[in-house]
Amino acid sequence: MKALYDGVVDFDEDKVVEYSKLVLDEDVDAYEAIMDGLAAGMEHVGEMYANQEYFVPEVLMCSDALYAGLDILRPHVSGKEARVKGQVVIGTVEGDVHDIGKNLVKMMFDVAGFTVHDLGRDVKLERFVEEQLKTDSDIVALSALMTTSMLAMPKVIEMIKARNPDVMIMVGGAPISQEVADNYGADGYAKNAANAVQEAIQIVSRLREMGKA
Amino acid sequence: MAEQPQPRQETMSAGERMGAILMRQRPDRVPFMPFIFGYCARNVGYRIARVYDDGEKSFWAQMWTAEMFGYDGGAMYGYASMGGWEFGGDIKMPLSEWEQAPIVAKFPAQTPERVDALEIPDVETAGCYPIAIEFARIQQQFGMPIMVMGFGALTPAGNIAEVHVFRRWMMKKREVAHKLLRKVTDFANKVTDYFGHNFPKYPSLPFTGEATWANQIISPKQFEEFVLPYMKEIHDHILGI
Repeated sequence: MKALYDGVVDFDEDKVVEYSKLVLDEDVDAYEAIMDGLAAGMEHVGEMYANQEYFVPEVLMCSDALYAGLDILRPHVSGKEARVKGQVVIGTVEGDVHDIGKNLVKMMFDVAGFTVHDLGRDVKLERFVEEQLKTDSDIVALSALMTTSMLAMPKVIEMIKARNPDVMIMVGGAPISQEVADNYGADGYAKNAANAVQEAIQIVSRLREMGKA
Repeated sequence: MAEQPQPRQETMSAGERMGAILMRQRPDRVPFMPFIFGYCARNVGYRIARVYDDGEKSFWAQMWTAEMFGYDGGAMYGYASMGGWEFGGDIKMPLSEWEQAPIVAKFPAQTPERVDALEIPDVETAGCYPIAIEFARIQQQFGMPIMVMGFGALTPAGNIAEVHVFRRWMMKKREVAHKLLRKVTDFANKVTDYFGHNFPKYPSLPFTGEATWANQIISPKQFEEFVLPYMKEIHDHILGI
């Protein structure tokens, strides 16, 4: 666990791959390795970012290392932990190519056990509608960095809700606030990547309670 | 009832005000220069792409809008995604309802080998520069300062390699990152030389937009290694002209 933790913190992909394989070889619980090794390491990375010891390039390198481990370990998670928390379609809206924040949110969803359908950046609005219908995802998460591109959000929310009123929409990005999210008709808003997952878990719980998920 | 502050009496035209700034004299008030390329195009009935792909339409869209609203500054040409097109990639102009600015559609150097193979472009044919040169000629025709979209270093490099590729090089293949920054800086200096030599009688206002090293995206240490020496060289070269 310590080696996985350190591998993520030191953005050492090779080390993470080596020890993830070792976890499987030695029959260690894959879910524990993810949570106590990879995810715990990423949590520490988050603290280092907050303390300005790490900046975006380092965080994204740590994220690469984390994914290297997740790719190996996740197929071996079994039992109740294997049950996905929910499905998310995520992307940066049309006209906006800034995807650093979106990728961080995507990573948080992945670690938290969601199935994530990442459409990338500069995503045509219709693609969000199509992908949600195709995957029957619980949540569509929309990102925008610019005040100009955020204007596409109310339109895409309207398009998604017109086809499936039960789907929940989350919005985020530098120019977005709770007030903007409310005005746009979004169901959830998160100020940062960590909040995004908490918000999503609450949304999915609500959906399941309502018998919709 | 409290007395409302009265607007200060203006004693300079917008041109005189900007001229005073350039001559390091005190203007009658702080100039107001909005950054609203897309709005200018839409305001005069053009598609947003015109302000980026047509020098003459771009110039007039900005001048008419400035006149309509009475702000200072005037017209300039450029956009944030410069680098990719100029070094041989493809650019996508904003044509759909939701697109606001050009974006790189094909990055010209996403491997170390491609960085090695990159040649310093000819300014007259590189990407948007034929449009920028046309734009500068119109500014010259009207006796205006030439507002040149100069080249920075890190942001164009990110637009050539793609930001996610470049930030990996910054961390794991620093020599490749520096090699690309060297080529970008050489081109930036070439752009300065071109405008300095071709528009010698007019004051130039070079500007750069360096979004990738803004705020807290990179660390102070990374700024010191990957931005500062190159930007210093570019600025020294401009001041040398």
